[in-house]
Amino acid sequence: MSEPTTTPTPPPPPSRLGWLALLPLALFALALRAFLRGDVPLEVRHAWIPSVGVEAAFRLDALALVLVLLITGIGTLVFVYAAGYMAGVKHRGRLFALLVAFMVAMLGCVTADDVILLFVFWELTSVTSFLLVGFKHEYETSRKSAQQALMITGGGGLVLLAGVLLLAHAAGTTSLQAMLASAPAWAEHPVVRGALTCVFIGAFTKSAQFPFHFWLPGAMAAPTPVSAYLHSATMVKLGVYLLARLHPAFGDDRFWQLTLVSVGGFTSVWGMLLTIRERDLKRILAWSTVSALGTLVMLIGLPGEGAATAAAAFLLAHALYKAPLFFVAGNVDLATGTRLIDELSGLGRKMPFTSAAGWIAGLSMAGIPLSFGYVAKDVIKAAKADTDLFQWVAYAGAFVSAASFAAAGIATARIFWRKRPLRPEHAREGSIATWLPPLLVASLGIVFGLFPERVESLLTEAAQAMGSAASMEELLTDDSASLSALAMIIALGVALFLGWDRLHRVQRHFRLPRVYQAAAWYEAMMVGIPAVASRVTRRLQMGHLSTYTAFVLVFALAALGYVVAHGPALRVPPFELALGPTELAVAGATLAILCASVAVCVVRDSFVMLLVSGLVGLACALLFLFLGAPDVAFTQFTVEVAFVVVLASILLRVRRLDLVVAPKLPRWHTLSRALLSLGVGAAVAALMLVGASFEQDPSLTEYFSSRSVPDAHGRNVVNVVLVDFRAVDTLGEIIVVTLTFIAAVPLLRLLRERWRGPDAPLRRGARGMSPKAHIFDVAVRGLYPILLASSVVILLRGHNEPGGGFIAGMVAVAATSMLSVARGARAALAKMPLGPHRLAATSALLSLASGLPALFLGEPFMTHLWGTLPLGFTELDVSTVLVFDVGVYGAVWGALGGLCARAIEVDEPHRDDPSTVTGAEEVTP
Amino acid sequence: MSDWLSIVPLLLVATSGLFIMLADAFSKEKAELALVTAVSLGTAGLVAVGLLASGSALPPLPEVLGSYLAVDELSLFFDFVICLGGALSALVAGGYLREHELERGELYVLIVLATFGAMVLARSTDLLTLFLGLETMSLSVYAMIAFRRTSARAVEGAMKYFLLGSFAAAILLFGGALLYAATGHTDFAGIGAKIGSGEVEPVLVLVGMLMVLAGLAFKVGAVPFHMWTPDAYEGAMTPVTGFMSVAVKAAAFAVFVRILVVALPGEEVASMTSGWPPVLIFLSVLSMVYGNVAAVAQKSVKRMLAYSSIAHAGYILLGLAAASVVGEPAISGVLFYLLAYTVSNILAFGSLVMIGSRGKEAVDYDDLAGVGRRHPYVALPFIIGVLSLMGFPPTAGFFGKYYVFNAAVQAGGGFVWLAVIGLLASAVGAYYYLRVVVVMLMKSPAEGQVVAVPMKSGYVASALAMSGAAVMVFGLLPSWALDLAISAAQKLIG
Repeated sequence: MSEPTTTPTPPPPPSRLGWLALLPLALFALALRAFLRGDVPLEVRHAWIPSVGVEAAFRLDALALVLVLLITGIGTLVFVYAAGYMAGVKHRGRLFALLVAFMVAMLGCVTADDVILLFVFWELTSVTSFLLVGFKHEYETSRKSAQQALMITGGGGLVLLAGVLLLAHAAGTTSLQAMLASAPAWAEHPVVRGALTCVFIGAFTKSAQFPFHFWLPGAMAAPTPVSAYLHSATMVKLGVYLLARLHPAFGDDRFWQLTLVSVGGFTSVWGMLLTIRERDLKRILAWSTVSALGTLVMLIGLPGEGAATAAAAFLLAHALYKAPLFFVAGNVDLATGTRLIDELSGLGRKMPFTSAAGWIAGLSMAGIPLSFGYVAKDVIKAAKADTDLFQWVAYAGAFVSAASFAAAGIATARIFWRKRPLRPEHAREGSIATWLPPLLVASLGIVFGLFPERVESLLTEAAQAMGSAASMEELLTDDSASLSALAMIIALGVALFLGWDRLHRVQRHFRLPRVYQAAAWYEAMMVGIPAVASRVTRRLQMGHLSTYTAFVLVFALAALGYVVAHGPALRVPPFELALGPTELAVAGATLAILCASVAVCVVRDSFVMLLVSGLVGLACALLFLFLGAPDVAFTQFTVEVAFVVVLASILLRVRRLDLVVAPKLPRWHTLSRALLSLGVGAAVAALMLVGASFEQDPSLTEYFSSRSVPDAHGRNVVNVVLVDFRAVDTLGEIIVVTLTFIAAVPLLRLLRERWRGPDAPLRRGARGMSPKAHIFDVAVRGLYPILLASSVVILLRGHNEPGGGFIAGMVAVAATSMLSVARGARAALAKMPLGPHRLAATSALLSLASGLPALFLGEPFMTHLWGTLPLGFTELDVSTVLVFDVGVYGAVWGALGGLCARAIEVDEPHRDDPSTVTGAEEVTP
Repeated sequence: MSDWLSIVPLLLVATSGLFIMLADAFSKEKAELALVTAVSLGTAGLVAVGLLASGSALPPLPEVLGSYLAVDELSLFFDFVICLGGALSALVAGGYLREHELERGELYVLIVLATFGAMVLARSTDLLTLFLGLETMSLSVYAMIAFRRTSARAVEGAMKYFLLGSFAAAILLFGGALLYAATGHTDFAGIGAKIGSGEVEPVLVLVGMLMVLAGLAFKVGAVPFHMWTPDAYEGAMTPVTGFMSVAVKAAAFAVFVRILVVALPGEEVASMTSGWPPVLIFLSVLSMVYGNVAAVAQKSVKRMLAYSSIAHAGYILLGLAAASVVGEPAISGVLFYLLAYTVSNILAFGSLVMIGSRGKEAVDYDDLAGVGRRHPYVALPFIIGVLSLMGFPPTAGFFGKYYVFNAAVQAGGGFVWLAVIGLLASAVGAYYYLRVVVVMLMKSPAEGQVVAVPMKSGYVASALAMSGAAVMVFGLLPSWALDLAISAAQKLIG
């Protein structure tokens, strides 16, 4: 070391993880052996999801083999290279794990013989590549580009799924082989165009075709081994592979040809134009990769025998020169800390091996004779000559070749030329693991260039798998025309190379307006989609309950209108209007309901609103009474009263708390709501009329009436139905009632906690113990036992007379409510046996248990048993029904009584443990 | 006793519900209730799947229940799905309540009762049992949402869900009444037979059907009956949100399947011109598009998952609509989808619970910044869950989506394009699902931001392990579950 200024540390020894390279190496050997022994095509099939005909089918034919050899061969070297490149980097184990996962996914994808399986692996490559690109996630650019790559390839993958499904639908199979074999039969299916469009989008996103091309240079933020592996040799070729795979089926389709040739052709030219703009070594390589992928896509779309062979040859050639160039760029980056071509020159002196690899690969990329790149370009030219339709493609090809020559010059001559001054001075060669892989791959490019017959059979067979008949040998031309063309391209290339800086300066003045930049579109979408989405959401999801309700109603009315307007004609049977006292009473009750409903809409004061809505309930109860359902009416009365009382007591507190700020609604608002209500009311009434006018099936009523006494020993049909015939339903209902209680308690507690502000004692005083309360207190003391006693009577006689567990329970609830108004909820709840929770729970269990004895006697669950208990003065029918009814009673009392008491308790002194209110539960605004 | 064989899972859940209620009322020690709940629901689910897999003939129920509850493979399949969802939610809740010091036993009672209601709902063959099951389930769920009672957001969500839910229940009830008026039957088979006989007033049937479907669409959260979803999902505690999104939805879809197949078959009501298929398509397209678009706009991960659940309802509805043409494949697709959705969703919500701890909950995207790097083992299940929801292979969610869309494509005609719309909408979904992954793995928390710190809980961890394993197994080896779904669908169609 002669330079005292720099004290370069020796390159860190390669990581031992590099031995993982043996894995792809073994696979490579296996695949090669299979090919040399003539075992290809090789098939492995396993039933996977037989019911939908999806198989775990793998097929290794020559086309797949080319890819497999690339994946494993270059994979081997990538692993070795990564061992050197990532030496000493944190988390490198994760990188290797991801690389292995990625390789497996790639191998699966190219060998899958089932489109679903192919798709599965396709998406796996997306996700593993995302993790690989984002490996250096400390950097903002790294994250952004990883996200971009994932969004585009992942989203494109989902579109591909649509395409794959449609293809499978058209072909009637998911097996690729079967699909291709029967292709002519279904190629005219109407969904095929749509399917192809989706497949194109999937393939174009993966292979970075215009307009999805911009993610690839972005992904250069990845560590170099990843770039070399994913973004030059393998993953980006998947789209090309898929198109090549499907080529036999659609090769003659005009839509297929036009799309692929125009998109591929444009991408290849556009990619090269963008190459010239770059100063970053890796990005130069990335854009030229985009261009090469475009060429591949175009070749697949070209009609004619030679195109497929050309595509196969170029696929191989590109991998053989681009991967080493990426390695070289990585070495330069590692050695110098920069990838900007302006800061690099004369590196050949310090980095002899890297520079050698670069030169060799560069020869191939430039298409100089004796390299495989030259062979490939020769074949491409021959393929294009086949077609007269796509003349302009040839001209584009010339430009692309020249630009590619220039880019190769930039990547090699410009930075390695020994005669130029060494910049930066501290550059030095890395460990053997970093320079051996590029040297090996690049040399292979020359070997194949010298002896193209070595790969001829492989590429010809691959082309045959793509439906082509031309062998590579036929296409190799060595005439003078090709040499003159070469000379022209080289001349143009040299001109481009020399004028690179000047061109660069010029084109900087011609920035493409953002409207024409695909990346700008992408970014606009990334910003725009959420913006549009939140605007839409804000308009539709405003949080107003009444708006939501109105929304539902409008839809209901619209659907109704649609049915009436477009559905079958309505046949309304004639019905007569008989006017008796019952009818008059019913009419009166209905009118009351109507008036009360209108009043609810008109009244502004919430308290009055509650009272009026209570009126609706009471009128409903009247209706039930006159329609011959006294029990239902009775229940409705008690429930309605309890409801109004409890709600009123809550409302009073809420008002005092000023919790509710009623928004001042505009006039039209009220009006439109009123109209909507009217419409809904009218529609409902009309439906009821139509429904009621049809003959009802009377069997149910008759059945219950006739079976009530003999089967269930009861004359009160409603109660008999509840506790006996429909006991299971009732059991469910009391559970429901219990639930309601559990549900409401937290809400009430919340209210109470709000009420208990910091100055709670002061406000509590407002209620206090007034003399009036004392009198009430005394009265209730007497009333409470009376009410409870009567509830027991109602309970016991319920089976024959109006009454029963539910109503009795409601009466008990009324007693508890009264007591809690007078003496406080705590006192009232203390008087409840077991307390509300336990009472309700035990009672529900009791009801359930009453059904069990029947089980022991071999009867169905809930079949009740009967007996009589002589009491001297009278006989009491004792049965499991009574047990059941007692359970209902207790459940209603416990649950609803507890609920009412809690509701009334809202502003009482609060002595619960303070742990119920915790900071963590507070919602953060 | 063998008469009861087919509803043993239901009875198990009912008994354990009462037992847990008593245990909660009389014991001081609440914590192990989570385990009791999970074990009893899990047992019920295993019994159901055992009965289903054994393939033995199921004895009919005693007369008293026979016309109200179904005895078939479909019910057992849903018993399995619902119990699985309930058991895993209970485990997640066990960890959550302890971590956030909210331990009150009634949540477990509510979970079991809601599960019971959902099972009854899925089994109902009569409008009465349908309503009973629906209300048992819904009331429990309302209460579960309001469980965190000091949180204004929870109470708001519960209130909105309750009011709108009661409203929807009323619509459903009215629709049922109209169907009864038109056919004189409340049991699905009777309704179906009567409609098939042609002696009914078609307008009444159609309107009744529309209203019943509207009521059910509300429960599955399909647009335009979805408005409660974001508020309720966000307001509820995360384990409860998980429960709602799986059990409630599965049960509602079970009723959908049964009503459509049993009560509303035939030309008159199942045709494209005047029947339920266009209704379902309408709901489905709106849900797929709106759910996915609105999910993009969310800042809160929970709210995003809420909207995405709307989109999922849309995909399932598309499968149901396709059932009018292809029958069994579509229905089995829907069944498998629900199973896959259940495990994926529990995985996602469970991980969200796991990632946060007391005072450092994970709610917004920002809370998740860099979690993947700090705590990779907590982030991994979340990523798997989210990818499964997105339909990324080889997870369960991918195959669910594949079967449903494949069924739609098989149905041919316009359904092909509906499937394409659905897939493209789900490609939009990639945006917000992948964003979670990106944020977790790539982003760094902003300066001074409170970062989510994972909690430690064996309950949650085991729930995640189970659901994560299920997501991968149903993805890699979907045949077993799919065959169960296919046999259930075949038996239903007959």
